[in-house]
Amino acid sequence: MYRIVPDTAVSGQVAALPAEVLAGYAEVLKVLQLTPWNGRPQHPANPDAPVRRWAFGPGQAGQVVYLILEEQQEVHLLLVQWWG
Amino acid sequence: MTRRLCQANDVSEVAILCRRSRWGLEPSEGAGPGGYGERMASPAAPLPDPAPAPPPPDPQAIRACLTPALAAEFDSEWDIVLERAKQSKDLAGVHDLLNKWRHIAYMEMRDPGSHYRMLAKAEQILRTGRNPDAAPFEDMQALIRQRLGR
Repeated sequence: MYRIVPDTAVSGQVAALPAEVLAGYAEVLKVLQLTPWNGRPQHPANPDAPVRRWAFGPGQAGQVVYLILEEQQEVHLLLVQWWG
Repeated sequence: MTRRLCQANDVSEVAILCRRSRWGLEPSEGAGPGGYGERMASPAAPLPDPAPAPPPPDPQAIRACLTPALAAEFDSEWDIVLERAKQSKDLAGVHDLLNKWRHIAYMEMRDPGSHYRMLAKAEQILRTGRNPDAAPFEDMQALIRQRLGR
């Protein structure tokens, strides 16, 4: 199981998420603790790169961008964004 | 700005609105006859748009909202996913790329330079093995539980 490590800025971004998408975001966190490599690579030319993203919510208006430190079994949250 | 971006008639109009937003050139309320007031005096310090709308899922509209450096990256990635789509007959990668770049365009309109700052932070964590600005995950979980009423 991977340990989730949020950036301080991400805490504020999560606080700003609308209440109706919080449950979907919480589900993403559960997935990231188990299978973070299932997220899409941030750059299509580097599909095995550790910086990845996971879209969520209606219309994929939300996204989480994160970095996997495989040796440490850590997922560092870099950005949580919502445009709805 | 948000409504105007959504109602833009064509890509060139989207481009003008995006650039004005990025550089703080949208006419401000109370501005003089020229319409641009004090915001035009500092083009070197882009003012964020606090309430932008993401561009539509259209490659030209997205490109129009990006800086030249980001637009070049978009072009490179666009070529890659289009070539894959031609081979696979599957457009999922194209849709994913458009979604990713809509998010980047939106992020840059709100906070210019934030995409590269995020990548720099990732590089720093990768190099050092730690994030000096990390926050406790338990605090985030508690916040979510509180807001969800659980």
